[in-house]
Amino acid sequence: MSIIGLIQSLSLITFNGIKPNFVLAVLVILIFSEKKFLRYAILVLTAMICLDYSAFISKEVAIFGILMLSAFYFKKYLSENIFLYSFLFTSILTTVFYLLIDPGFIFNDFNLFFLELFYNVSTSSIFGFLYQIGYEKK
Amino acid sequence: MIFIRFGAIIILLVMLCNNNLIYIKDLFSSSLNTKNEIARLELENDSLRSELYIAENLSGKEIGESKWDYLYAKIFSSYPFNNQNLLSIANGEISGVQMDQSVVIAPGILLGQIIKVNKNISLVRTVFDKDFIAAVKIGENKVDALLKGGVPPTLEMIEKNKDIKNGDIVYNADPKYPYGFKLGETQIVETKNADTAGLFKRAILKTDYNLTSLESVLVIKNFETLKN
Repeated sequence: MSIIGLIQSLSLITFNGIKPNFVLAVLVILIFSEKKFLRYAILVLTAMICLDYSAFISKEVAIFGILMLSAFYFKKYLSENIFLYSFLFTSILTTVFYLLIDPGFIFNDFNLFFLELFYNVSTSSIFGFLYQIGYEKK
Repeated sequence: MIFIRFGAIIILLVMLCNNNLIYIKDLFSSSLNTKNEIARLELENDSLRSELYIAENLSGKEIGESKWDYLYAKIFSSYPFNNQNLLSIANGEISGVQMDQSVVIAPGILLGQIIKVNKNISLVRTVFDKDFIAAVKIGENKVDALLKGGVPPTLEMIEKNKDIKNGDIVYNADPKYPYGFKLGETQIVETKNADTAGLFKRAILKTDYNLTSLESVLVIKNFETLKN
């Protein structure tokens, strides 16, 4: 989780200047796979520490953490098919996150928002696929 | 366990394929030094051209070329989401960094402005941030335009009858930043801009650097903006 967080915080992987939200994509799959909230919460906190881009209190990272922690309680309402689940959950969480921190970004920079959404859903599906391979081998 | 291993392999592959970490691949080839040298020389060339422009156009020409006092600052990390494009640098009040100071990639090449400072770290708003706005001039004809930050930054409000072309150099003309500092070059000039009913032209600003591969910047310590 810390590696993923650092990759995002240091912007090591970008596509045409757009940073996919790897942390969100991985956490979405972890919500699906992890049954204990405490273990999941520790991973969310680790991600938040790695994401914090400055020494200031970062409102965005705090909101991101709270959103990801609350998302854990909504997993029971979503599909058990990991691909449908990751698509829906990633889309909803990305949209809600930007609605909370900067709604103007969605409306004024819709192209950017849509591309990030696309990258997030793709990343989350890849991680979902990897999880499924691992799960089937067990 | 398998999930983690696969994940690690995928991440490494993506990183290797990505331009930002191209140097990992280059470690195994002899072209690394040549590439770095070319990039350095290009930046130096840009910087010199920009300084020449400043020297030719500033009213106070008697001021020597060492007019600006630069502070070298390492980039700490970047804002992790897409709605803003900020960098945090590892220098703050202790090093003399103050609010609104201009930040450059190399002497004469403007990157952004300090928007927050604490003791050891400062935040820089870059030209790729949607809240970055500056009045600029384009090319030898000094055509006026408004630079709007974003991915990519755009040049707007360019008068329809003014002649600009791809590759024209874009210089700062905003009092918030040092006059004449280069921001980039024009690319893809759109003559039909529906947003302004075709009254103005629009272009994209192309920068010579990749923000994600930057490791350090320079803060101009002795430039003060006009305060209301």
